[in-house]
Amino acid sequence: MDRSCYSWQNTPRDRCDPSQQNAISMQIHGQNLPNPSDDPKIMSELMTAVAEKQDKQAFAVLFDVLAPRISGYLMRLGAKPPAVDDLVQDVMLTVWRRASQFNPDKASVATWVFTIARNRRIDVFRRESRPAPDPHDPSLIPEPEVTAEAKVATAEQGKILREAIAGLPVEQADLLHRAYFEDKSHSAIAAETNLPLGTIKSRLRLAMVKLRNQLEYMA
Amino acid sequence: MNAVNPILPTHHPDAGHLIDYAAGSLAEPVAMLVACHLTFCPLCREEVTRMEAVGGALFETVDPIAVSDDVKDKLFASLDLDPEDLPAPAVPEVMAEDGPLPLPLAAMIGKPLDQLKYKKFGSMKEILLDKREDQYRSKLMSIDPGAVMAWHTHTGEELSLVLSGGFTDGDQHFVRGDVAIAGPEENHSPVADDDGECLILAVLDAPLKLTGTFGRLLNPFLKY
Repeated sequence: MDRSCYSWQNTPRDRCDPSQQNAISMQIHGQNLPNPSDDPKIMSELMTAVAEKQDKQAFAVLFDVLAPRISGYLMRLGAKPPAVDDLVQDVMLTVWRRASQFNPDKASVATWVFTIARNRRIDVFRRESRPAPDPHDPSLIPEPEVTAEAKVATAEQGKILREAIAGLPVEQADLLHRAYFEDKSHSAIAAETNLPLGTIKSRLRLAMVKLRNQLEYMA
Repeated sequence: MNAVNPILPTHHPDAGHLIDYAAGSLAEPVAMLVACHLTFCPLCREEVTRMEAVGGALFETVDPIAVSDDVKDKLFASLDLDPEDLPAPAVPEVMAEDGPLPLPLAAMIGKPLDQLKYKKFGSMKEILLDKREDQYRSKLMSIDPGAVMAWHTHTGEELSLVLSGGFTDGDQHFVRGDVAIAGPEENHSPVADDDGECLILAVLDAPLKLTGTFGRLLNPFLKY
């Protein structure tokens, strides 16, 4: 698809009003496309355009979808303006520079950007680095060869997971939100909620099992 | 060890640790242990990938908050600038008997193991890698072949990743890549395998409590 033919059009909106975010629209050959944030495949194509051709128009659309979410995520974790704006700029610059590392078979754009934002906030809020396995480590034990199994395309996973999360028992969903959106380990959550550590661990495990089953069921 | 069919770990961090790792809320000493286990464990890597996908799904449900107008302008002005990419520092290979240490840990240690200044306690020697004001202690422990650790329990949680050799605890055997988790309900006396040194990365979130006869006399927590 020839990317140069689309133009991004910003319909007039109050930039301070988050509910107006959905007014972003894309035009291609004069036709309106659905909101890119609703379609992970479009997000993936935009990212690929950035990776392969350094397409700034595609990147502008990605920015408009992603920046407010990165901002929302960081503020839920306690970041305050103006630090938030600097971090958002930082994360989006990393997205631009590392776009060629984005692999649509491995993760959705949302997941990939989440991991970049996560690592950056650990860097900045805690002044720690996040240790990670090195894919070139000679000690790395590689994935075993498996016959190709039916797997849900990563683009669809987000929607399935969001629905599955909405369907979790409230105590499990609440834990998940705390785990991802508060900078607290599960043992800190146990201490805070006065629940036994074992209860927290088993609720998190049950939530993950349910979510994994949902993905496998849809494959 | 068979290169075609490497031995996969059979003891893993639990879901709580992996979720915290995927979510980014895990303290660095524990994250280091998890990252090292992940080096040995493709199953847990896959689990963490799934947990990151959950993070991505949750990220999509966050209430968006608009950024100031100039963020986009400043960003676009910087896109064409060349990043000052410093070459990554070379990570030394740090060898143990069963193989090299995972790179994140090797980078932290930075030198061959026989150059480290261990503190010796009987049949075990250890070196403190990381000590946090609030909570965590991270240690590299080397246990002599066949040595028996004193009976002890834990006031908090102890995670032990085997880097070389192995040990038996009750009816379970732990080797390179395995993670043993011990908490207040365990009162144990692990025994190192007798065919070589047992090298462990241990992360504790509160001090050990010695429980054997001698141990009780030495236990700083008991008041007489």
